[in-house]
Amino acid sequence: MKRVLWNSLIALTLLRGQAARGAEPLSGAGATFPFPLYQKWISTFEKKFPGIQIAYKPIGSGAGIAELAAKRIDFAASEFPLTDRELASFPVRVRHIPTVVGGVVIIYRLDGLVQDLRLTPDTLAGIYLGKIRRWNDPRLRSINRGLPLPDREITTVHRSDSSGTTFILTSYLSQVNAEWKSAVGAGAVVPWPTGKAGEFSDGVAKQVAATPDSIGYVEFFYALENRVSYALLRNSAGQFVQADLTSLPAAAESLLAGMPDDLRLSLVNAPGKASYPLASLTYLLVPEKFENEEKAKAMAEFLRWLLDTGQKQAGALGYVALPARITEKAVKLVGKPN
Amino acid sequence: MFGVRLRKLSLVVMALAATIHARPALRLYVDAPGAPSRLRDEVVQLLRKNPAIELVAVPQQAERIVALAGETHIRGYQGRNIRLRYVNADSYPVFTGYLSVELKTPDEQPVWSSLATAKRPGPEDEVDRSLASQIVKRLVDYLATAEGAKP
Repeated sequence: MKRVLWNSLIALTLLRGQAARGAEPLSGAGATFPFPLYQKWISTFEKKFPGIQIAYKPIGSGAGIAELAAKRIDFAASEFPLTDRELASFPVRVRHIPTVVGGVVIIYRLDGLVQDLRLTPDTLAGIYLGKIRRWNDPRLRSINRGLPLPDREITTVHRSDSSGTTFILTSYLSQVNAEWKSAVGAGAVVPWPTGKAGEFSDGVAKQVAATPDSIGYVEFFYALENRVSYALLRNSAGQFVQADLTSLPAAAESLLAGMPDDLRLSLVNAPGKASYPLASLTYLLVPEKFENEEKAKAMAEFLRWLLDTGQKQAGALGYVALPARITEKAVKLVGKPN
Repeated sequence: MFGVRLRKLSLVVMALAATIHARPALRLYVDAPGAPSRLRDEVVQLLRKNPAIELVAVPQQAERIVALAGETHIRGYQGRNIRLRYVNADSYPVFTGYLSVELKTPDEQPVWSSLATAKRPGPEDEVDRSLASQIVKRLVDYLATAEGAKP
């Protein structure tokens, strides 16, 4: 009798614990690019909807997609949408839900240089190809007149993991530089001709901050957070532009007309004088069907919230809210509340 | 005579209508949990100049909360000769930084947000002023358009 009572007490405590915690948390993983914003979103969302909990791990886009394919998580996050071929063989039928627009910046550490560095598509490709090896190379000096560029070797830093940020940079370099396209190409993981590797965005930012004469690439907010300088890039209209809340939306707006219904679209090298050339949409890859009905409802609730209220928090972290035409299409993909 | 009275009457009616439709100043509370007090002070000083905004001392009295975050830091040292890369007695620190703003309801619901970066590196007070003026301009524009808080 005592044992029955004891077991009942334990069961009740467990049930109460479960109720207090709410349903099983939604689990997501992938891109580090939007992680600062996703952290903020999840915290704000969970306060508004205390019954829903979300756990997100920034393990890189490629690893996130692999986790989703293995059905170990409920959603993945990535800057590179799956291709038609990848979608056809993917073990889960997924929708691509764009969440915000962000930018990749070229960060550098050049002690003694207080002015902003300028880079053209060819000089950036030349540095990462290992063809431009020193900071005072004439090709860099000619676009940075008057700047005291040192006679020192350039150390390039790239991502070691399968990364959406790498995909954005290498897609851009493949568009603007024929040698890069044939020798390296575009991808989340590429055969880097030179340089050191850093793990995740934070690892690259910290490695550049700690290495004199280095150059790397991260999402915009990581540069601000880690106090590293970032370069102006020459865009397709020939203007040198820096990533900010003017040049990133300009890139998105310039390509809206070509937005397909499934919302898979590249923003790199966007036309327009004000457009920043390394802008990108970032996506959540969400299964069309969930086995757990509660999770399906929670996921839809979170998606509808981030496409509406969540967008209002994007600017504070250097991301750009989706243009209304994209949001409308994305909300349709999410579906109506049950 | 009748015309003059009519004109006076219409002026009174217009003034009354303006009083009825004018929105009282929007009550804002400026919170800066993630920004140095210098930057908060710059923002507060600029917002005080706007008659469409009333700054309140406690969040409970506010219609909207303005949450600031950001920083400035030394980017390097510069002397009169910008080609010199080393620091000498002539050198002075050059700052850069960013400032972000999030507008929220008193119950913490997001309304709008933005971020500004230093337009060019410079002395700390110049960078502070540049960041604050960019943020306040965007905030005031938003409030005028979306919330009807026009001076």
